[in-house]
Amino acid sequence: MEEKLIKDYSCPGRKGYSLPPLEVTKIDLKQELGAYYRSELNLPEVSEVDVIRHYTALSGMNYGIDSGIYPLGSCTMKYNPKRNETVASLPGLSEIHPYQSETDLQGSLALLYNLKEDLIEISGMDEITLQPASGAHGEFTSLMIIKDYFADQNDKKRKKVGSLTNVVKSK
Amino acid sequence: MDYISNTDSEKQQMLKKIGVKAVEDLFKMIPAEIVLEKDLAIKEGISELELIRQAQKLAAQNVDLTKLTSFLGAGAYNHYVPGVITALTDRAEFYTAYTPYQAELSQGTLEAIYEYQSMISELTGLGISNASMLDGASAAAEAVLMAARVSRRSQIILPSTINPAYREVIKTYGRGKELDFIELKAENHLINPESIIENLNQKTAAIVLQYPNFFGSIEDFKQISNLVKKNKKTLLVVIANPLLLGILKAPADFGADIVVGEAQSLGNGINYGGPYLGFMACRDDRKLLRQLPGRIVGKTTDSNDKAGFVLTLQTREQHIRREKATSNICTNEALNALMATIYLATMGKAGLQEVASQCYQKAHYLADKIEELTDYQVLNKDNFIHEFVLKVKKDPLTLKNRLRNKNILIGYHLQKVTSADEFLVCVTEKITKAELDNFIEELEVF
Repeated sequence: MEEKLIKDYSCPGRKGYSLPPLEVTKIDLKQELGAYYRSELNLPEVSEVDVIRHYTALSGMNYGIDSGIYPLGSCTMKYNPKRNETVASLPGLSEIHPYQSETDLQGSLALLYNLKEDLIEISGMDEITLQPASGAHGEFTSLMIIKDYFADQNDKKRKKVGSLTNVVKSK
Repeated sequence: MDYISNTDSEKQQMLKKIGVKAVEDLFKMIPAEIVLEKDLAIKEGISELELIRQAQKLAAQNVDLTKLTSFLGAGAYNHYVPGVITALTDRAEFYTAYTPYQAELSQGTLEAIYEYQSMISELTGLGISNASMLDGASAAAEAVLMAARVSRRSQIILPSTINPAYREVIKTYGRGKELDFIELKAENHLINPESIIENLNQKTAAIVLQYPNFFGSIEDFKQISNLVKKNKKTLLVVIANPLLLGILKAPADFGADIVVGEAQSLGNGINYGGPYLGFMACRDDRKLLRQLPGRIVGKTTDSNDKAGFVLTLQTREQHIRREKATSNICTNEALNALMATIYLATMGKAGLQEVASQCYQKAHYLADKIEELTDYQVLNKDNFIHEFVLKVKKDPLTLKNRLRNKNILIGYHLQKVTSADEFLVCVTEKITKAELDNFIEELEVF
């Protein structure tokens, strides 16, 4: 271990945050929350520069695509163009709430629609969902769709999932 | 532009070296019948400048939260993200790193996740935390499956005071696992412990509660927990808002066995719903630990007695036969977990308490002022933290649209959850007193 833990930089009373003044009359939380009030909280008490130096030190203990060649396949280690980061952090595309109205999100919806159309062209499929949060999540979603497809046709006997290398019983 | 740096002559040199005539020959192993013989109908690549202009144009077609006063919460929270977070997570050593299978190349990420786990343990009060999950809803679903495995039971009590989107995800994950879900109806936005007594039996694997619940209220955990503990083997699963754990008692203190939740509120942007990160913690109990999905980072020493970090207990995911794994659909969200870790380090003890307290104080200021108006009511005014249920007498859609025209988002419309005349209003530290007063004024004149 080349860099100590953030908690080891802690010193009672040291602060790394700033918030605007409250502006409204303060209510006594201890009284308000009663049995649910929390008094103990053991989190680091460090300054901003402690945070910056500690995590900068940790970054130096990593190796990534930008450090050099990384011939590992399962997560497809390819170069990620920097322009992607620029675009994804535009406030107009990042500071938006999922429950805002469609009228207010036409830009993002257009972007997702175009991505969907491209993925349909690449995969040769007819429809697509961008909902799954990871590859395995997507595989799970496909299996659920297949299961429901057969259930719709009243075909409930199919329980096996085949692949080129092995066949496992689905649970 | 493409990102392949080899020139034609370099390619020729490489081909010559390995004894291949043309690049195409490298792809000969692909059977002819599956080779794509047409060009894909996808637009040509464009330059960076053109791309940025197109993206800016799309971004301008959104009305983002910097232009609005938003009272939307319901699972995705608009908190301030300190600049220190982006400054650090923009370091390519973090965001271009591989998943930390090769410990020697990943000590930075592994140490950060180790710190993350310790902080989640502290917030929840539970001894064990995993390295993070896909998001809050899937973490809740995994907690339910875990409770069923640990208890070897099949019934899950799922109250209607849980986020409806989470309930859907939990039920979806439960399909094919032969789980029975008992849905408890809320009374005054709370679960009546009596209704739990009626449904607790020898088949009950878990009762799931949200803290604070979907409507912002605190359930009667003391009584519910006593009931659960009387029914041996039944586990108490709590879905908690980690930011509010700055002022709220740790769920372990009232008997939670597994605590999960969405950690987006900790230094992760709102980002239209993702990527987010779920957290998952459980009691320090071997029976639970063995069934905890996802990976865990542990501290160890190498052959030279040097301290370091590794992924431990990996038998839970793809390293063993899939039907023996605790879950096959979880990874950790390392970069998002890093953001949460830096947030908790930066805010620290006093900062997390203060940000949670500000949310509480401002939400209560707003609710008190609304209660003074004639056509509005705060239904859970005596029991809420930073989200409350607003009932309106006048036409709710007209009100919602009218406020939107004044650049105010009234909150999450509860039409499909409870009633068409109710909104879930959320207040975070980002909303100023002037914005609160303006909202009250607009409600009054409507």
